[in-house]
Amino acid sequence: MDEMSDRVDLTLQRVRTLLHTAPLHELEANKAHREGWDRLDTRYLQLRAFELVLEKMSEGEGADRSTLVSELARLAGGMDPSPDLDHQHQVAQQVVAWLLNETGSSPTFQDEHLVPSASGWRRGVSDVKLMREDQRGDEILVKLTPAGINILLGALAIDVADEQRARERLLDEEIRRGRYDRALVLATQARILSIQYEEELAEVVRMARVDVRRLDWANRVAQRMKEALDHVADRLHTESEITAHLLVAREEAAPEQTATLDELARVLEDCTRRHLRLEGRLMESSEVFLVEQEHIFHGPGSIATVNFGNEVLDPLLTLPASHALSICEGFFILLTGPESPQMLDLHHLLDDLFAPRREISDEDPLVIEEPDLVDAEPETVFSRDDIERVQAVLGSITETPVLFSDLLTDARHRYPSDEPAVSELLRFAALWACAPDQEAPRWMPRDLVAMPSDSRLQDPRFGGDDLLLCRVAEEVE
Amino acid sequence: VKVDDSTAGDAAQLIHYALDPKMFTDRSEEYRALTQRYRTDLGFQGTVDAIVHGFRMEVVDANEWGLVLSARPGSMFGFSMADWRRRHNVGYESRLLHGLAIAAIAACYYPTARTLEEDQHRPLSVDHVETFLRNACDELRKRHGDDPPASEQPEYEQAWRVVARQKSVTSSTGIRASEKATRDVIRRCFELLADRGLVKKMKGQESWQPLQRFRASMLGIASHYAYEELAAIQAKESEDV
Repeated sequence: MDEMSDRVDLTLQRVRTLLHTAPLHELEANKAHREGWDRLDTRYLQLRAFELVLEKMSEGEGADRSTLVSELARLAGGMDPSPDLDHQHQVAQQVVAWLLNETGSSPTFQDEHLVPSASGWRRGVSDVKLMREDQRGDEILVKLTPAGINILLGALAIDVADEQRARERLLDEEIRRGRYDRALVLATQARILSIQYEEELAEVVRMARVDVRRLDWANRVAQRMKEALDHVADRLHTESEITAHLLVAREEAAPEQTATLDELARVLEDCTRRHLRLEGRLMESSEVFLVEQEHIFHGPGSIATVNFGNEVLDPLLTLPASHALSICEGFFILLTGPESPQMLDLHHLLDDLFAPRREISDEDPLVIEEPDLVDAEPETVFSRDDIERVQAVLGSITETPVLFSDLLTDARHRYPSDEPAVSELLRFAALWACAPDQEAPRWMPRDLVAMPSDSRLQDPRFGGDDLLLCRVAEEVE
Repeated sequence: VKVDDSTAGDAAQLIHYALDPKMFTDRSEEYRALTQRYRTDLGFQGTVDAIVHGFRMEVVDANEWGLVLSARPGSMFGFSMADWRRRHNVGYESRLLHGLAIAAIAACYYPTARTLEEDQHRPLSVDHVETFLRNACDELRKRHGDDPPASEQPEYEQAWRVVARQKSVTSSTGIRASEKATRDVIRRCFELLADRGLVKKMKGQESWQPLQRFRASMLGIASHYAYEELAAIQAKESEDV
């Protein structure tokens, strides 16, 4: 009976694995509904997409979506030699979106099939994801899932760990027998298996993170992690043995074999690198899980319950504009994240001083623009000495107006070594005296005023109207 | 619990990294180690959370790529629409349009609660969002009719009418993008979101993909806030009636 149920289960597994290819056929079968697709072989396009992604996963972490799309667009252009580049591009985009199942209503491709049980046949659903996108740092990369890799390997549901062990034994044997070409083929397959294993574990880790909020997963995941760590340690050990044999082989090899042996070494090195990285991640993840198990991550309201489209956007649009705006503003702050408050520096201060004054817009009955009142004292780029020198120059001004250009020339003459800070600061002072709209810095004489003169400023650095500066007596109340 | 100086320093260091939306753990070994410590050392997590709360912020996610923070309205770390557009002479309508465009982008990426649970990075273009927003407005036009209720006060006009009467593109041939034409507004919003590390522009294409930060902020706090505020307004309206 046991033997029987094992056999039946295996068949069921094969049915499910077979259904993994269903999405590929479905796209092909329904291409008549898409305009301008009749001359395309979408199966070829889809399988090529798998290959391109796996190639990129062998070189690094995954494929860049736009590169993938342009490669497929070129291929589509070959199949249908119409000169419509936009169409080819759209085809490629849609093929990729299809494989990522972005068009479906559920996150996985689902196909119904029958499942045998003690009480007869019942309906079951095969649930599969072939590709997914993953963020690595600020890159988003397309990757194959283990099921996606399986499609390429042409294998029906293998145990990756067992397969890895078996192939490594063969690989070692081939090297010792000196059959290096065969060894290289095996090593390349071993690398694909390590990628597949890595993805399989990534999925375990992801599922566990989702489950942490819902189910008791601790024992299952912890057990799986431990197995994985043992398996990776075992791989690293075997790989170092194979590499040792490879080094011996290289010394005795004929010259025409060295290129193959070098390639072999490179592939093995890559496998080792991947396994080391995987080992690091596994250790880190186990630690995180242990903590999360005891202390569920407490991000505020971490279970999504809001249907943002019809529960937020639609009602928002029906609100009176002023209410809608205030909700939008709150949402904006929460969504866009924090920003460190900006320190005022002279560069920005000058920008602000030179900026056209903001007017209250006519169309805007509600706007109340608050001026940004900021302390201009700290964070200047000028030294105490610069300020003292400028104070000395400004101190020489009396009630008789002087031209700003004369002041500048004078200052440059007196302090030639402190250029350009002194003339910059002097210009700032003159501008403030001309249009004071904030509290003056402490070092400015309070009674200094400036007004435009009829002449142009004669200066190698600054332009515009020359200014007349003088002191005015304080008004007595 | 007594916190020693070095723990407080580490906590501040972690927050400093997290304040940069374009910083990821693969760029700094220290950030990686601090994030890992946050995820595994509950005492440290408590210290970081306390400081973050003191600054009126929340930790909305902690994953292998770093810590994601969100500022509450009123926090000095808050980045508001006014901060964003302060160098432009923008009026009330323009601010409303930008705010709605951001909400429309969010709704387009994550229309349902289910989509928020999936790690998908479906790209969107300005076209997608505009069509989505216009369709929503058309639906409302069918429900509420063409004629706006007689009111002299623009702030009582329904938000969708403000959107519906804007042009898609500006008719003038000036180089400056318009403050109100919907396509210009949506594009500007995408650019801002990219700047804030929420979306990423695809190479050589006018499309943007959402990054994890977007989903985490929506999932953690932003979508709930909008939902609850709406519910509060609706409750108040039904009371008034």
